[in-house]
Amino acid sequence: MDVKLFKKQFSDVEDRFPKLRYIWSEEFLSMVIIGKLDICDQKGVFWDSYDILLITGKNYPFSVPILIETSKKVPHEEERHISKEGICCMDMDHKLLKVASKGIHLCQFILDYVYPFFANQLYYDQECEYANGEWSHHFEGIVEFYHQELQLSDPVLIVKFLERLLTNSLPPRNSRCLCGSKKYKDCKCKQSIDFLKGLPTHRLQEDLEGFRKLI
Amino acid sequence: MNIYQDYLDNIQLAMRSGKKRKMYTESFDSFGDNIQKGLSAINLAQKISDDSLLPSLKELAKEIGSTPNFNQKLGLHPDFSHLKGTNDTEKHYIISTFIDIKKSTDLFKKYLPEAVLIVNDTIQKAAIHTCLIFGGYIHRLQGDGLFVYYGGKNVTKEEGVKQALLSTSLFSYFVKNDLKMVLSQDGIEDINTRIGIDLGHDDDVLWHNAGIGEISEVTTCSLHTSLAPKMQAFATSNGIVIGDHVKQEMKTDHDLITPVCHRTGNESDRYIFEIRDENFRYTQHDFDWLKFLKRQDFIITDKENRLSFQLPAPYEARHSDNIRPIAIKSYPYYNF
Repeated sequence: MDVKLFKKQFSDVEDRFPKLRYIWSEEFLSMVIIGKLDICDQKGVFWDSYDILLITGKNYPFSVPILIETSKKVPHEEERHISKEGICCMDMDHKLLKVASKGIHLCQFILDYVYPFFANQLYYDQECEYANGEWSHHFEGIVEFYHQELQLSDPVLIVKFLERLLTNSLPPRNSRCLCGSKKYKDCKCKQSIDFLKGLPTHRLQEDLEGFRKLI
Repeated sequence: MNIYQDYLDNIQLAMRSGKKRKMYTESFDSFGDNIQKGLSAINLAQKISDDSLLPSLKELAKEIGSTPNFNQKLGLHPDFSHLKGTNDTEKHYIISTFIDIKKSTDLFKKYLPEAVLIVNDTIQKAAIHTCLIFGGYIHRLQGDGLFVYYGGKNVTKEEGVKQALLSTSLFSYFVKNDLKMVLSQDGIEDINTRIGIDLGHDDDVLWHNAGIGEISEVTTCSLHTSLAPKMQAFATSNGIVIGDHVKQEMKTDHDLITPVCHRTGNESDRYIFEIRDENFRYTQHDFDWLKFLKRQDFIITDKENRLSFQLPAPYEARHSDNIRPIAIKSYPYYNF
């Protein structure tokens, strides 16, 4: 946990979100941002305020902050993407892990993920749907992510890639790609695999097990 | 801030209708007519009535459950009015607040005296109203300043301190931002506030009747009442300086307080008062009122860092088209 960096970054958070403060948590061995987050719309109209905890993680800035809604203004249920304990599932794990792998900037993270998450909950209250849709839940969402974001749909091919990735035996650049279409370096698969390369092993292992079950 | 909008409208109306320049540039024939028009427009910028808040501030009063007491009399704090005309004394804590409003003499260069009167009157009433809704008692009007007591027999010190800090912070924001924006449009820049706040505990404050007959007031004999205007003099433009006793009554927000000497770089400014023989030193602190305000539940800070008083919009006032551009950035998942 880079405490010095945290304190530096928190001054931006405090400027933009003045009702948030931070405490040190022995339990999480991490700084925890705590307080109220006011949500206003584009015209500055105040809609509502949520009590939150944002656990930055002991590997901060290289860990995904965990967001917990404590005011219980949004039902803690699957439909609302919040666990019984109040943990909010802001986006697909892979995307969040990728952001974290490059280092989290706290204020930007709140602006990009936390604030829109609650704005979307307020939108849902009005419209009974999310403004831009949602990932399917559980492993189905991961399949969707591989398809939409990585353009990988064939479970057999995905398993091959994940096995190679985990054993550090991806095809050489000038060899034929595992999909068989062209040289690996020229294949669109390479871009997808490059994205996966930055993710933690446990994430890839879970994906591998999931896709194996689909074969 | 939106709670002062009606006060600002009043000031703007007076400024628009009471401009000197406008009349001198007109031809001689229409000169008389313009004076008439100007003055009647100034009448429209009504002097604020003596017994009510303007609607924008009324909303805040309603939200915090405050009913301002417009029947106060200067120099006669209701909790100690029994001392009037007597030689009795009573010891009781009080929070003394000195609000200095430095008004601009430049106003007279640009506006008719009638307009300057409305502008100054509105600023002073905005200050009085703000103090009243937070339970302040206006003890004295001193030229451009107000001397206000907070606390009393049915108010805890902690509560009194919070009321003093909230009202002075709100008023400082009004002068530093809203008023400045309006006046600077006409090139008037130098209106600002300086505020000093101090708390004297029961043993440090002696309430008594000062003066003779009707030439008298019920007031306090206290080091800490005397220190409030001294601290005010140490404040920056639009700043608030508080005494160490005030700090001690604050249960939170200590991170918003720094000894004055940290700002001035002069260690001798750390203490506003010392009795060396008794080893008594009393510290004065700068108070970051802007951060304090931003932390209040009823204050919302927008993306441009502007503050407003807002309650959650009622369901019918929420237009999903306005929240959608923010909400579409979210694409939630669930995997628990």
